[in-house]
Amino acid sequence: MSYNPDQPIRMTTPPSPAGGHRLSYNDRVWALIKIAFSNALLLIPTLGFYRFWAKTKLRRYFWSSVNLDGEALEYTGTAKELLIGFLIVIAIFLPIIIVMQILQFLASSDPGRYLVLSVTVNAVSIISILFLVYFAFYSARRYRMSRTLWRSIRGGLDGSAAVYALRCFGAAFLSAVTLGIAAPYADMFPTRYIINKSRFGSQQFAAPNLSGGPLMRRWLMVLLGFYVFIGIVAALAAINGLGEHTGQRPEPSPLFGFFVLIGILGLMLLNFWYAVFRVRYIISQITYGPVRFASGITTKSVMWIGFLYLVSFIGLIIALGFLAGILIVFFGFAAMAGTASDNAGPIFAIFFVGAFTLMGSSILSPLMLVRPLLKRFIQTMVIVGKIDFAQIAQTSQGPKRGEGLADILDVGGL
Amino acid sequence: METLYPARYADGRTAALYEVTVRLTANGLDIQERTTGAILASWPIRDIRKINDDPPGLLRLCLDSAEYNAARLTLLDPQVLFLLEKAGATLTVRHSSAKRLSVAAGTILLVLVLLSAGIWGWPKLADGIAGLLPENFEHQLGINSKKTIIAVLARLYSTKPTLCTAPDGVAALNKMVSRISAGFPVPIRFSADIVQVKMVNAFALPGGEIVVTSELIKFAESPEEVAAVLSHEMAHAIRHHPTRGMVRAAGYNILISLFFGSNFGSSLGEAILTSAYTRDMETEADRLGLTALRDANIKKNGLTTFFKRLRDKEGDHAKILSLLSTHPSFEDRIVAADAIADRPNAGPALDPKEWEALRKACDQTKPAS
Repeated sequence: MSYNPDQPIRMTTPPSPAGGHRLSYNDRVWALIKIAFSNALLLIPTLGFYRFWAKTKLRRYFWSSVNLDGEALEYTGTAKELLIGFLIVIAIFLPIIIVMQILQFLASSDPGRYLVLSVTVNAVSIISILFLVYFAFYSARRYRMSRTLWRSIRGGLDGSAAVYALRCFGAAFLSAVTLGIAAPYADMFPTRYIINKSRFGSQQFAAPNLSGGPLMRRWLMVLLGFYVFIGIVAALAAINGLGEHTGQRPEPSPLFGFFVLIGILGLMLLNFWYAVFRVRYIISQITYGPVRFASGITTKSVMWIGFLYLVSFIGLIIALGFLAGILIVFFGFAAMAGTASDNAGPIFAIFFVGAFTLMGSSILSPLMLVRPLLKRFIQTMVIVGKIDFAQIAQTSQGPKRGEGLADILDVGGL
Repeated sequence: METLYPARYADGRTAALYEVTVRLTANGLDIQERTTGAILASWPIRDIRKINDDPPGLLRLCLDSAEYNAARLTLLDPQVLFLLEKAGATLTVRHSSAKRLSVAAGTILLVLVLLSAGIWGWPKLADGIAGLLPENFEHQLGINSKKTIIAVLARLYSTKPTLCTAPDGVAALNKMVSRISAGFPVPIRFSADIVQVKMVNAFALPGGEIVVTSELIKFAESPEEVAAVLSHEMAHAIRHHPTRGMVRAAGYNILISLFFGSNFGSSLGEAILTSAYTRDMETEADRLGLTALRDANIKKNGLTTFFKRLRDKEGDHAKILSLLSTHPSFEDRIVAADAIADRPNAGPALDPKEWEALRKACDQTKPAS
């Protein structure tokens, strides 16, 4: 089966290849709007505790929107499992977080005096947080896969979250020592692990031919763009710095700021282009028994979704900023009345902006980001080859508790 | 003649999908393979459930039983649901109203317990923690947060962080600080700076660091008015209120980011601005500050005149808002000020020459690093 990821399939509804399997997306926007708004309303008065129920509702909705051969997926996880997972992690991590915070606070108060402490605390917390992020990502994925049901059969993710985290560290190390050049090869180290350990029922997924090689050409272009940008910024900064010695203190030129902005934007687009290609390539290498996959998702479509999401978010922020401004002005008059730090205004503003941003993103993210992305992804996915699902047997139940750690570290995703 | 309804069935053992017909019997549902007529399963009516939260249009059933909980039946005809309900099936488990009430009550109780732990418990604990901090640590914290607050103030007013440094003005301020300081029973080391920003305000920071705004000195009509504000801030510092406020804010930040799953709170700089003292702390600082003025032989009428003029400037809405803000109302403060009498030999806070110098402190400035 030859498939060239360089030429994405340009169609939204792929035809079902003769005898192949067929994916489709069942869109029910109003049902989603109802879920998103009720979630947003319940989040604040419950001090955020509702998010376990919110997440579960959204997952049940999104899972049931995906059809394979006419049969919808099902999410069988419960909010209770997520809540218990969270409480256990809180019990373990709250004391650790507090001690770390106090040490960091202490170290930052006098970096000279507490230099050794400062360096140690920072190094330990960066490494352990990174480790936990990778660990949590894998565990959360294991939980989600074990709670995914299709035709009465569960998915699953075997393997060890710690091994995955170590592979991620290895990959980061390899890319760092090669100044980023070997990043695509390094990237495949943890990616291959997660694919090989995934399964649906008794049948494993695999990616025997996965390699960084086909990604190199595009990656080097991204890297080149990055280094050229850094070089130009450094050169401009140096020229600016030379001016300082001549006695005049030059204002940073607006042109410089404009260049940096354009440069960052350009790098982001370049990175998008690479990331979408990478996803397409990885999907093209996954096998499930005799079945193979191909994704026709394009950079343009993903960028367009990202753009619309960003625009809706900026609109929200402007509206909230306006609201906060009114509050600050209103309370500001009162604040002038007290002599010392009187801050009803800022407190109210921060509280309202925080609460509304939380509510806003819990509405916008499922509606403007997850839904269009998932829909696009499912509609452009082609499954090639045929497997006899009668041969796929049920497996064990998977983890008992939800993804507590990932929830706290915010890597749980949807 | 019984009706057969079309459906799809997966048995929970393999991913095979069976085209079936279902038939309502006395005990429940019989699931029969469509072509051969072989009975694949018989579902007892009391265990049949709809899938939780399935969107409208999806008609999926499962069994509420430990052994067969994975098997799924997808109906193609909604009629079956009505028939099942008519036969007494509990398709969606509704908790009894007593149970739902107790879950709601439990949630409200949990929220209340957490809120009161946050509102009453944590401040007490934070005060204890603040008291344990070593002195030079608090001092360093004060120096760092002074930098932060000067930067935050500058950002608020879109200016560059600037300190007023005219030598005579700085000397006059320092003289005033050391005079007031002598009025406290157990003075600490104080260090005051004037920051150039268009806001009438003053801040006490950990370790005796004080920030006064240039606008406050401009608004004041006598050195006693500045002294009244300074004594209040110095009283905060003596009682370690800023340190306590910052430890409280740090704790709230940790908790909020834990409970809301993301960083909903603020950075340290904002924490200083928002680490409002409690009303008790304000009242304490007022009382202690006034006593210090009295014992330093400074006339305390500055407080009264300053607040009266501020009240005239602000109007009545300040009274309403004082319920929300943490400061006592003007009226309360003026009444409290009248309760403490000046010493017979009380005099001005600065002589006219020094006062003139203080008012010109911003004739010379330097950027705050």
